[in-house]
Amino acid sequence: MTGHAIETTNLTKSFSGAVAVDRLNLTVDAGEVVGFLGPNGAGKSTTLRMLLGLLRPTSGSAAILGHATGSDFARGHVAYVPGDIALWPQLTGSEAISLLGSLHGSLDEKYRDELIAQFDLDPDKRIRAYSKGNRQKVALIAAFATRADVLLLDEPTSGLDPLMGRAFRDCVIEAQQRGQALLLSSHMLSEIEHLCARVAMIRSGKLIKVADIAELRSRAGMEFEISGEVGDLTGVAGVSDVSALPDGVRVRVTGSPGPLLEALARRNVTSLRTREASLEEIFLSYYDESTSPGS
Amino acid sequence: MRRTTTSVHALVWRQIRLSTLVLSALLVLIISVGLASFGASGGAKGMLSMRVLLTNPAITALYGHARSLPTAGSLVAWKMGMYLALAVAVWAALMATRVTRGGEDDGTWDLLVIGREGRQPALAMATLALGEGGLVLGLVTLLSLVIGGQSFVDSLLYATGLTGVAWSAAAIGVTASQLLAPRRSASQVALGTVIVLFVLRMIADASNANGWLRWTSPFGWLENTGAFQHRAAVWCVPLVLGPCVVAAFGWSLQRDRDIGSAWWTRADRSAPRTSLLRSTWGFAWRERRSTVFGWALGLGLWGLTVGYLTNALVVFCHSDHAFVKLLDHWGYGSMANGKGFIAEVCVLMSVAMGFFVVTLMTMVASDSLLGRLDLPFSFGTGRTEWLASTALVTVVSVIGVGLFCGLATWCGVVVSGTSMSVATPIEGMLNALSPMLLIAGASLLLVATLPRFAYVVMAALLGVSYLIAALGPTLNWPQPVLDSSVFHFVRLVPTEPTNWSATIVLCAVGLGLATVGYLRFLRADIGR
Repeated sequence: MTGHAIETTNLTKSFSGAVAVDRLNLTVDAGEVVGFLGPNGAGKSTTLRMLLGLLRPTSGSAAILGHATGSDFARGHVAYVPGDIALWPQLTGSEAISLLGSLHGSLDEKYRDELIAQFDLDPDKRIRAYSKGNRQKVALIAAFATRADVLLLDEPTSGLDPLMGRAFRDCVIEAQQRGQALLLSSHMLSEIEHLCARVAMIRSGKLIKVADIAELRSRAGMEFEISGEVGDLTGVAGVSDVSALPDGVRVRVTGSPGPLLEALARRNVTSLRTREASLEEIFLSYYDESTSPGS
Repeated sequence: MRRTTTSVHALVWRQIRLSTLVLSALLVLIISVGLASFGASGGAKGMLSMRVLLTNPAITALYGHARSLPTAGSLVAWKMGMYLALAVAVWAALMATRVTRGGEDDGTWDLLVIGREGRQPALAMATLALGEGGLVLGLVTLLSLVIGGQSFVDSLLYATGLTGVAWSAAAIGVTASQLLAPRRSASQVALGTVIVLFVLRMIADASNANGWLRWTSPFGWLENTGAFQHRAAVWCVPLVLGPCVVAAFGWSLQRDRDIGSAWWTRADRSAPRTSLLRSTWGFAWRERRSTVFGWALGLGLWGLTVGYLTNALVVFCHSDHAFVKLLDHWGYGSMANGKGFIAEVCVLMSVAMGFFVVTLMTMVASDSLLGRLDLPFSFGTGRTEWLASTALVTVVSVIGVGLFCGLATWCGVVVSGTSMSVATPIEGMLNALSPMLLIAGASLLLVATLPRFAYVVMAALLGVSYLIAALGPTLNWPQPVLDSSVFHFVRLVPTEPTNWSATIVLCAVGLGLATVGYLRFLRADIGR
């Protein structure tokens, strides 16, 4: 046992010679929600499918709670929600949840009923009659109701309306508080920002960054919009990206804002607005090919 | 409109081209071998002795009517014609439900029919593409016969009839797709209709009193065209008009319904029934039971009909010793009594059961390709457990359906007035199951290695295997070729003892293939 709920070591997957995931090293601990970010085709789903044992690694390894993925133990402690649910169309929602619960070996029936109410699912409808969002709810309810130690969520809220998105976030928070480990792949950066303390970013199969969101924000710096006669700020420590505004300047500050505030104290400032970098801006800075990602 | 319909046409062709190619290759092979068997059987002179055989009701029910067999083409059209038509009809019905109902089930049609002109031109183009597929098979048949030196007019007549049967089945498939959802239900009804139409032709040919029934079936119309016999091209008219009427009916049904829906569909809501969802075994049965019941019904009906013909054959043999001698001469001496006839029927059933095994086993491949295995395999189920459940349900279903068919055949025999122990057809059917483990093992290997093509490849292998077993001995093919056919080892039980050594070897090879397939499946990537 390594102590990590999820651990990959040089995990690699190639399809017909094309490398989809390249020597990926990642850990997720119990009670942690890690966001898994990357553009389309970056290798997120391939990584999750290897963690589930659906795809076999070309090289490297992956483990769930210290046991190799695909092993009986690993399978018994993981649940999954894909972004595109495919199930037998003649099953009803309730039957699909029962089937997945039976296959998993455990299903908290009381919690399942609560989730059905929380997600406002009609469980007697057949899968073929569900909308995409409702099919998504079936998989979410089954996954959370198993109380699996590790939850792998691959764009789990695609198709859900905002109200259901909130129900989903409540479930994730509850699962985290119970000590479950969650790896959440999503393009909804606000969702990641809300739920995850740490994110892993992948591009072209390579993990380019794993860091706390707070740390990323700190590195990305804060944006200051200063009105008044502030003069030239280019020489101030930590200040960069100085651009003129009609009534002042906009600057980015990396590290402590102290030197900037000291400099401003001696000038005629009429107003000062600050804004932290959003995850979207941080994400774009890492994925914009023209911009060199931070170290 | 042009862009929409062209897209539909191209898409449908893309979906049917592989199976059309495989079936075309099989048609060429079967017709070529059939033509060659004419010479090997003594040519026109040798066929003169067959005249007595051609009047027997049991034989006419199986193969259809023929006055004489003076040419190789006439032999092919008589001995293989109906079964080639049946194979083409099954293909056409399945392809029709796949491209129309299947397209609606998976949402493809939503994208295809949103054009300004609506969906009816799209359905018309899909039907046209299916018709072209049938036409290709007809042209392949025509060319195979003509290149084989047969009369152009008769070859054209038979090929037209075969094309008409394909069009009829495609029209039935298209109409079933408008009436029923999901695709599995539409396919079952379309296939059931094709089988009923074939059985109607059999009943019509079993006695003169029922001859009018030939008019009710495309297979009867095909027979009535009289290719290589009396030439009655007028029967090509219903073979062309019939499918047009049925397809137009299907086309009109589409007008007043929503895309994705059907006229008759199971209710969208249902109280949960979870008793079979508590294990992979239960679920494997739940998913296959309607297929199993469908096959049991179809094969049972065929067994009942063939069993009913036993008395006609036995009575005929008792009254005509020349006929018995002739059967002996052609290697069918065992058919002169009821037991022998049933033994022959059971060998034919073995081929059908082979297709049944392939259908059940390759459902794992289609589930995997549709992404349906992702969630079960991500919720704790092992691949071993899933495969074991599939294998167990297949074994139990095959034995069950085999016994049911034996029982249905016995009922037919008893109803016809012939005395026979129930053990006779049961024993014959159980013996017919001897190659099934090998077929299941080969299917599993293909599911693990070539899931997308598993069914088509297995169907082609079974077709060639049967061809070798049926015609190889007559054509004096080398022993290694004969031994390559699993059906070559199926003895005429109960008139002959079971070939236990061959059965053990077949089972051992089957287990070997299954083991390799299982190991490959454990390492295979799952999903779309």
